[in-house]
Amino acid sequence: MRHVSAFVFSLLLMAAIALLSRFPTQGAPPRAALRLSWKTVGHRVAVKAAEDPALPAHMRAPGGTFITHLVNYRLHVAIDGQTVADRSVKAGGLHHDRPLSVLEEVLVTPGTHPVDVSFTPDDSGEVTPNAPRYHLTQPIDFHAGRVCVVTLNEGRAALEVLP
Amino acid sequence: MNALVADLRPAISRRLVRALRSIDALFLRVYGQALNPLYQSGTLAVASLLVALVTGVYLLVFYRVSAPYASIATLQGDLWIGRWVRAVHRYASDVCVLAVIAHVLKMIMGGRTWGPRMLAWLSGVALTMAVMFTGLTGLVMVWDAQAQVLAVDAVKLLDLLPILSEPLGRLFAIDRALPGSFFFMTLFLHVLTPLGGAALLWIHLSRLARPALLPPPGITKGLVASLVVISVVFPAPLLPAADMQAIPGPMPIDLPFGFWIVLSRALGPLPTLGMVALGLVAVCLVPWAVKPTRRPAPSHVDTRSCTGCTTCSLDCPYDAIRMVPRQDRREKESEMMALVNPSLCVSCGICAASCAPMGVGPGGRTGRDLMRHTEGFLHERPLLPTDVVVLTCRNGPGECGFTRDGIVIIPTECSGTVHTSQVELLLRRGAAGVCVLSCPPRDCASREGPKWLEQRMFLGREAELQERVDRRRVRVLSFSAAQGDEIVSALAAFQTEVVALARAAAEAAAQSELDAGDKRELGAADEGEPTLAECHEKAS
Repeated sequence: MRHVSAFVFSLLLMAAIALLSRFPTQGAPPRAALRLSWKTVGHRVAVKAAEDPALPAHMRAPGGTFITHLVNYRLHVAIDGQTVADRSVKAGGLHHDRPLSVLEEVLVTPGTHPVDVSFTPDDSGEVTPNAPRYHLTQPIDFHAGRVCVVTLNEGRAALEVLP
Repeated sequence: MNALVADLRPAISRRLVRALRSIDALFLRVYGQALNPLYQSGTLAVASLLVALVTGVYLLVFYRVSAPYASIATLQGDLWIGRWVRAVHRYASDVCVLAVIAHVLKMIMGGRTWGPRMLAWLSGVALTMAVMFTGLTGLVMVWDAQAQVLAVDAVKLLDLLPILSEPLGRLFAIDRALPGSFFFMTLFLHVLTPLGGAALLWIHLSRLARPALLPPPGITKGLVASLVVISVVFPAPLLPAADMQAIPGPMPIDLPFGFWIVLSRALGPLPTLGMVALGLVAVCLVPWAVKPTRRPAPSHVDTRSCTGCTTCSLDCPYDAIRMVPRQDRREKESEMMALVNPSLCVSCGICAASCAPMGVGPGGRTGRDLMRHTEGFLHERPLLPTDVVVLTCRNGPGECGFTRDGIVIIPTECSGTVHTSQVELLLRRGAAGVCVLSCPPRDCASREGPKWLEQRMFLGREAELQERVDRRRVRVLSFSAAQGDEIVSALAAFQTEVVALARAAAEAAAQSELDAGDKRELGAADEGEPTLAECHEKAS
């Protein structure tokens, strides 16, 4: 008799575990999202090693050797004319020699909203007239529960909305 | 007896014991001692992992890294085998996590986290992390909506750490950004981590003399049967396929492995990462925080008393005693003698009761100390012929504070530390009976106390109870702290038995005295002394 009751109790415990395995969680309210995601080298600036101020004097090779720096960019996102993201994007890695990565997600109320995205060299440090600049200005139709992805098409040198 | 059995467990251990007593009582009522899963938490975790391993091999055959969701959906559609095997795999993993939580609580309740047990604790933490990681990768492999949430939120936490040159989250930005190698890597980690876990398990058990890996067959069969039944009745859920361009709505989460999702959604990634990191640090610091109020002395060996019998080294649950050749051996001394490794000794005192000449034990708690202390106790509290002395383990039954007329309670460190000579002494000093109350055998804080006690009392294990002792007057009972009423009834029954025995013995003694008196009277009739009435008076 004890074995039967123990087995029934075990089944109840297992049922509780099965319920734990499907514990209900609250989802986000029915909103849409704008996701910006890309990776780019951006713009390389070659500096003569002899002139690189970041290097200590004894490491500056005289002439010939060039060190490249990736230019910092600034990401600016506005929806309905309101700025929702504005930040500097630095090259990745400890030495800032890896490509620039952008991953940004902004929640938006469903509907059509004018979106303005710009990804331009951050000229606060240095002047980079040849560096590529990317802009996207267009109304986007946001659907509840869906994410609209904006990415950088380097082949076309343009930001574009993924279908 | 307080000096001998000072409860050195930290306050949190005692508080936990009190708080969880009702759960223990419920499980005992349902399962009894032998099948109580709470006393098998560690082995239950291993058994459920093995179940997950076996079912995992089956699932592996059908899993395709190129089409993860489709392959799981096919399995889920196989009503005869695939669906319930997948559910057994999932639920066995959940049982493992819950068994680990129970195991952690049991260790803290028994104050079994400090000193030489620190290695087991820290390797246990690493083992738990390995189990959690394996479970997480397993859930991600399904690549349904839950997997999407787990993967995305996990990389959000990882991206907070400044260790990667680009955010991992970009992997999940769009469906087609996910490289095919992702699922291969996830599968690889899901299979590889348990192999590392096996090495951790070996470290975890390395300081135990006779580690138990699996629960008794009854529990294993019950576990498998209940897992199968519940898997057939409640198959594991399979949510819609992951869609990286969808915002996850309300969904069921596997709580044992995804509990942090609840935190992450409520508080955001940074506080969640902070809480998880703090929790991990706190768990790792338990051996330093939850430790005895003062560290008890490790065992030592009185080399002059050691007969080289090896019992203490065999009985030690932690392999802390080994036999070594005796240096400067004198005549009549054994060739080998016991040597305690203090860095492995947890001062449980089991060895003190294993030594017939009482030459080994923790400082101040050897067999001789126990005898001295028992003498002192009897000097202060002489026994009546109807008294039953109860030597009760302070960790288990001693916690419930039972009392009864005619019951004299002597608390002990652990029932495995009760020396058989102590029992004999109590009987010779007039106790009607002696009962040793131990914890349930698989719930002993010193691991093997009740087992050795039983063998020494009734099966002739070295340091055995002498032949001359009437076994009817000795009883070994095992109860948990949650069984106060049962303890009192069992003691009452034993008391009735031994008091009846004592009365019968007294009557038999009186009768034999009477008979002897009659014979003397016949022999001395001519002398006219003593009279029959005098004999009766003497006998009575």
